[in-house]
Amino acid sequence: MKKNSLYKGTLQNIILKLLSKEVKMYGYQITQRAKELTEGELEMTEGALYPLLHKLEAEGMITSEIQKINGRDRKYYLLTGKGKKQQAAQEEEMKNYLFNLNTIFNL
Amino acid sequence: MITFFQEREIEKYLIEKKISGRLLAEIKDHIVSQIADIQDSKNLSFEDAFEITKADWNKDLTLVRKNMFSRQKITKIAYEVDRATNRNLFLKSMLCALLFVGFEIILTFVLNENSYVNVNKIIKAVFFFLPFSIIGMYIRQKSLENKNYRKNIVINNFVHPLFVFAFTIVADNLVDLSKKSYILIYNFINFGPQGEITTSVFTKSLLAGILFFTLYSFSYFSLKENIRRFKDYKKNYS
Repeated sequence: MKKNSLYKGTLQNIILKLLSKEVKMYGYQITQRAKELTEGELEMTEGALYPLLHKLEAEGMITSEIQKINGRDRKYYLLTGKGKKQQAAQEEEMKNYLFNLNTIFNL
Repeated sequence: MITFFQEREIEKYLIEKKISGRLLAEIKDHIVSQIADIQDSKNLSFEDAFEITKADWNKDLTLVRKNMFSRQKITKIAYEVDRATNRNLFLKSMLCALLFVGFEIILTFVLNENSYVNVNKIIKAVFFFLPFSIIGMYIRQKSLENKNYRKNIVINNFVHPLFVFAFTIVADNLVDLSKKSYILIYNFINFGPQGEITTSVFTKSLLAGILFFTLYSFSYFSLKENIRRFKDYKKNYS
């Protein structure tokens, strides 16, 4: 993360959520989508993104496919069935966490 | 729009940074997209946009030592990808070891001593073939490595699987425990501490079993993962 270290622990949730909303995404697209949705607030570093994508792939949460785009190989990531379940569970957990934080910080 | 020659320039830069084949295509595509975006949004030339992108990637493309035993250097991003994969493999190996020890403990409850010893003889016979399987997998990995030499695929094992395997064999033979520790476990669980089977010997046997099984599995899974990487590369990029 370039701007906010508070996002660091939630990067996996963010990636899984973004992938659940699109059929498939490639690395650069994920960084740009996160930046666009947060109006430039969240800038993922490549050094954080790619190790996590490869870890999720090794864990079977996501899978990948290669497509030729403008003559070069592009690696797209997709959620697996296991990843979809994990994403739904994590989203629920995250919503509860945000609700509780909101309650505390609105005191 | 990035031209063919500009793409080649990016690829050359990444190869100079020792990016492995597995990451090369992915990072190249990222950098090409990033440069094209910078050129569009800031109306800059390719050279200027490339310099900005290089600065952005500078930290991730710094060269670091592959591991504490190696002089070979790899990029920080490749190191981080490899570390994440290795952590997963290690956890998987540890889980296998715990399951195996758990299975052994269950057997001590459900089997009589004779059957328990016989089952363990079969397990030992299976383990006898493990070194051959490890060597076979290493030969397969090397052969795939040689066939794909020109494609610049680097196997970034944090610690070499053969080193882990050899270290475990030596440690396994040096450790001051009975070679039939499964009988110690059986006797301790069924008859409690007695004679030479103290709680300390039982705990040592159990911990040694978990540790060595974890390390053996880790070297096996590492080699399996390396072979998978080569096969994936062949499937995706041939």
